[in-house]
Amino acid sequence: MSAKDKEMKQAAQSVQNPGELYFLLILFSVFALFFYEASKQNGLLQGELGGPGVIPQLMIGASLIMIVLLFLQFRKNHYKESYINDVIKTLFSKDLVAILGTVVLYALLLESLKFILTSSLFLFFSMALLDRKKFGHKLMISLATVAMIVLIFRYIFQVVLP
Amino acid sequence: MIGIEGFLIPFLNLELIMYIAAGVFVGIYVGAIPGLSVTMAVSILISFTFSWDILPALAVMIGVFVGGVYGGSRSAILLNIPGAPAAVATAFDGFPLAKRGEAGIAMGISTTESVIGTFFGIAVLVVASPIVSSLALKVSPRDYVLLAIMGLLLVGSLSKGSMLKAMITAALGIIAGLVGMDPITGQPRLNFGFDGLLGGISFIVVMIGIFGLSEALMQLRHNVQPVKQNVDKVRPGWDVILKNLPLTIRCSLIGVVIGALPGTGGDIAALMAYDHAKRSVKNPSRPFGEGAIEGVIAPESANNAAIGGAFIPMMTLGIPGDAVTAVLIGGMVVHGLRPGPMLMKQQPEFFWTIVACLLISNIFLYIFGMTGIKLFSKIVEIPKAIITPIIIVLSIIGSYSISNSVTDIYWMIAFGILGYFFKTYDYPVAPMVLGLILSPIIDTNYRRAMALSHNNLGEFITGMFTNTISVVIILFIVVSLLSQSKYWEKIRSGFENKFK
Repeated sequence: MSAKDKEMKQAAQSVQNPGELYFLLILFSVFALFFYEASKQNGLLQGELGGPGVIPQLMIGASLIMIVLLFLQFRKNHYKESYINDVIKTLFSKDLVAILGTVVLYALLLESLKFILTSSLFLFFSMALLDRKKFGHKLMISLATVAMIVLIFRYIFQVVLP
Repeated sequence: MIGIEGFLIPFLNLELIMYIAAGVFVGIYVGAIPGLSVTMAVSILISFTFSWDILPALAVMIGVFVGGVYGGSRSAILLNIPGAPAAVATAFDGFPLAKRGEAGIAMGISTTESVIGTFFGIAVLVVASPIVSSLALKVSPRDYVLLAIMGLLLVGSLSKGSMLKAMITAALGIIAGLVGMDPITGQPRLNFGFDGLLGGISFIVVMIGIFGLSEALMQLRHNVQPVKQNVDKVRPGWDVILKNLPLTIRCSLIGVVIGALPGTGGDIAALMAYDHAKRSVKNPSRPFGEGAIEGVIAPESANNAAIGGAFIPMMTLGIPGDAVTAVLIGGMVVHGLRPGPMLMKQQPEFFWTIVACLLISNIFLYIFGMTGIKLFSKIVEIPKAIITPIIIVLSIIGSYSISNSVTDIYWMIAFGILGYFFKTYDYPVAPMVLGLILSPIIDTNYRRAMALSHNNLGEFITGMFTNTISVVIILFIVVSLLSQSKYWEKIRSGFENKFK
């Protein structure tokens, strides 16, 4: 590893971002749940070396240890976690929350309203949310984009659209 | 060379040439769109070309294969969203080049190196097929496990920041790849009792979410502005090509060897080649990960060379080298041909016809690849308010098209949000993709190897040192680990001083 790479690695290790400790806690919980699920399979915990649970138990166990080591690294660097309000403000800007909300709504409405209508609405509202100008222009782009997608995917590539 | 007259057939048939051209053109754009895979395109073509003669059908499919592997690099460079798994490594330096306004040169290099890599793969296919295929047959399940471990060592190379974080994301990738039905016993595994998870989590869906949606969210968060692209010079000069020729050849060799191994393909080859470039290139044009052209050269030459490699076991043994050649074998069987040693013996001209189709595809790859660059580069200049929602819609179509299931869309969104958090907290996402690719290889081959060792760990370990291929791989692993230690520089400079 070059000296510059080592420097970058050390720098990355000493920088913490707001909410990182909460994220680590969530990761630990998820891996712990997976470990519980993996323990139901025959593997290392049951003394079997060739069972379906070997690799999952090994990987998840190793991950839990690595998360603990990362937490200890944070403590060594005297990391202090921010308040939850500051974390939310940093991670989720208004634009981001709005787009994420429209994406989730888009996915939920796809089956009932079908592809053409849902996609046209999603494209138009997302573009308008991100740049609140020239709405007519954005409507044209949305409709043209959906038309092109249907032509290319459904008729040329023969891909089934949602 | 028996049957070499078959080599001339495509060159003397304008219709076949047109089919190949159409295949390459379609393949490039299929490969460029995340979620539309080359495997899927070739599968659709089998039904499309069912009533055709074998040669036109093969010509189109080979064209799509060659174009599609290259096409994934387009979106990887322009949008940091690999169009295909084989283009994951191209994004590491290709996208930083686009951020500097050099998308044109990045795509020019990717096109040129893909062409050179494909030529290399074809050359090995012609010259060394029997040797490579006999070697591929000797690789045992234990060797695959060792290869996977060697692959996992790439985690260090793929991460700029914390090694622990990289290993956590790699482990998460491996675990995600194990969700679903156990391929050996057929039992549910890690599905938490949900029948909906029995089908597992598609690797492509995870890739689209982790790279596609999360990138869109990150760009929104950081309010990234479009960068004006310099497209005056897209074709790399001869000086650049010749200077990097040794690297190209080494990476192409990696691509051919990995491609020739059944079950591995351009995706692993590209990542290994990238790691090799990082270790071997002492003075890159820029630091790796910040727009080094060597970081584009390595994976692009490897993933296209893997095409030639994948054809080796397919043609000589009837064993697919990767998913696409598996589908191609199906296509040939549908048309009454069974690839393998008997076909090579009874109809050797077929082998040469396929070689010619690959060569012609490569020529069209250069033509179509270079002519579309200036237009494609403009994509990066489109305002984010317009391009981001379009990327999201394409990501959703791509996720849905895997198995026509809305559940895959929800998974894509979930992994997109996870990817956003990973990127925010400096967890590298590339190791997660690596983990997903290696997951089935590690699990299935480990259990096969243990079964062959009668579930005896001692027998499993001692077996590694009695097999030549295993010993070679172990040596590579040891050297790889040593080269990351502080003692390596001391040992290396000691040798250099001694021999000066």
